[in-house]
Amino acid sequence: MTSAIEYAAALEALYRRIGERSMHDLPIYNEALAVEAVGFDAHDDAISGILITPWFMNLMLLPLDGSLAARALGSSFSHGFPVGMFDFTVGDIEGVGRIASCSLFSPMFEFADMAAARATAAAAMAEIRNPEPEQPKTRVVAALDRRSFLRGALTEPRP
Amino acid sequence: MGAGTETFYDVIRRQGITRRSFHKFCSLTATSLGLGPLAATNIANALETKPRVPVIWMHGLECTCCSESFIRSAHPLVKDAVLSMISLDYDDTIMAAAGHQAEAILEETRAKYKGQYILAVEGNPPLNEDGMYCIDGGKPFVEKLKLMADDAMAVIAWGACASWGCVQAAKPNPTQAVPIDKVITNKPIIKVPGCPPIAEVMTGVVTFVTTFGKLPELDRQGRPKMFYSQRIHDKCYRRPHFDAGQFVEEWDDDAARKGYCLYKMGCKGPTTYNACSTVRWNGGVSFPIQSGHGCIGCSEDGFWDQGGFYDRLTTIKQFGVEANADKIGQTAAVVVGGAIVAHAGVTVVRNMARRSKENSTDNSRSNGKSAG
Repeated sequence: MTSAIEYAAALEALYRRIGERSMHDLPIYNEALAVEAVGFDAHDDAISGILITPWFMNLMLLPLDGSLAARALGSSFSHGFPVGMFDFTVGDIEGVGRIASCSLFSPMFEFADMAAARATAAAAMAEIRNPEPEQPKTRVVAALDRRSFLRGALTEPRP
Repeated sequence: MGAGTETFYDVIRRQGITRRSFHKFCSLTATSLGLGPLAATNIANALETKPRVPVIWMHGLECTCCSESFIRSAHPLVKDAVLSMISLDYDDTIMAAAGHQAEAILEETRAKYKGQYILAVEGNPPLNEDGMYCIDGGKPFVEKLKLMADDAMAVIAWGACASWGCVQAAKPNPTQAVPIDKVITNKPIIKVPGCPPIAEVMTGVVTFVTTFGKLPELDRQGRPKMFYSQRIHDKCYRRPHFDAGQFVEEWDDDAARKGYCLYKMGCKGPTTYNACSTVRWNGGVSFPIQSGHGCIGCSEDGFWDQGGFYDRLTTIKQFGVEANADKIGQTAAVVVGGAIVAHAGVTVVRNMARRSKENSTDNSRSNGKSAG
């Protein structure tokens, strides 16, 4: 079974090669940046982490049950994290096979340097895994809360 | 073309549509607007109790592609829904009335529904020679437009013409055609750009305004955030090929057959804000990139003057960052300092996760955990 560290290293090597081979002379390439994997870790039977390259920053996902292999190229599926659901697009890369990615940024000209990109990725990853509680909303009614159901409070208050 | 006093529910019941179908329609609509299941109840409630909103649909300099798109909306079904949901009192393309009778409707609506009707504008007014390049019912279109806008509740700008100017405002713009927000300055305007806009986006906007009686949340350029907050590039199914540096280099080469990224063939996906890659066209069947052609960026400001359709994007730097300072999916401002950086990361995650969560609430029941 692939470990998170191995997977991150494999992706880094792969996209570094892609960068050198096909991307570095295109106008969408931010030369201030480099390829780097941030926060790769295994949680709930899937490896996830953020991959920074000079042309995109994606949330990457590798389900450890091998389900990715069965998915069609270009199809999308959603995966839940503590902060919520994310939609991933399935791709296929020589050397790694099926990959699943969710675009966070592209192109990358928002980032002046690697430190900025790295800090953004780290903050994003922290939020994905341990979301800061949002401002409490007034009257949150769960969709299928039994008590609310018996009270007839299933619907939001009408305006 | 009835009066605006009946409710939508009255009308469809009279047409023999069952209550069950009505509720199904409400939940479909809620889903297409990216709203949760509770919104379906609100929509049903509004459609049952509120009188239909009168809509005046005016045409300036345009090609009618917006109307063509609108009447092909797959869901909500235009035939049963939208034309019943609103009281389309005036639309010179699809109404039965003509001549003086048609002109009288404009006056009547303005007097009877002052401040209550929606003015939908397809096309734009030319200002040169006092507006004589577009004469409608014997008067310059720009005058009629201003007059009708004065008493409207809100204005919808259909398509690239009304929103940005489109081809008739392309250089050198001999008629001095201008987007409608240059002549209507006293009313809120919802811009629904695209050439044409996606049918479901159009009906979605109409549904939202008529059922909730308010404008959807707009970005700084006046576009509804629910449909224009992401670029084609962000949700493109060919995106993994872009990431992997796999590009079509020539039409009909091997890479084209494999469905690689069309960026080098001039695709404007990376700079275009629209819902094509998620909502798609013709009832969700396909969209330009899926048919093998790059995005031409038709929903962006001044797309006719942004170079050829097949010219490779080279100015993403300026275009992507400056032209779209207000984005919710991806932060646009140049990220520099530490605190701002962290904030950008958190913002992008929250916005994306929230959006997915809302959508998945509805999809999960029919599709299980994974859609597609």
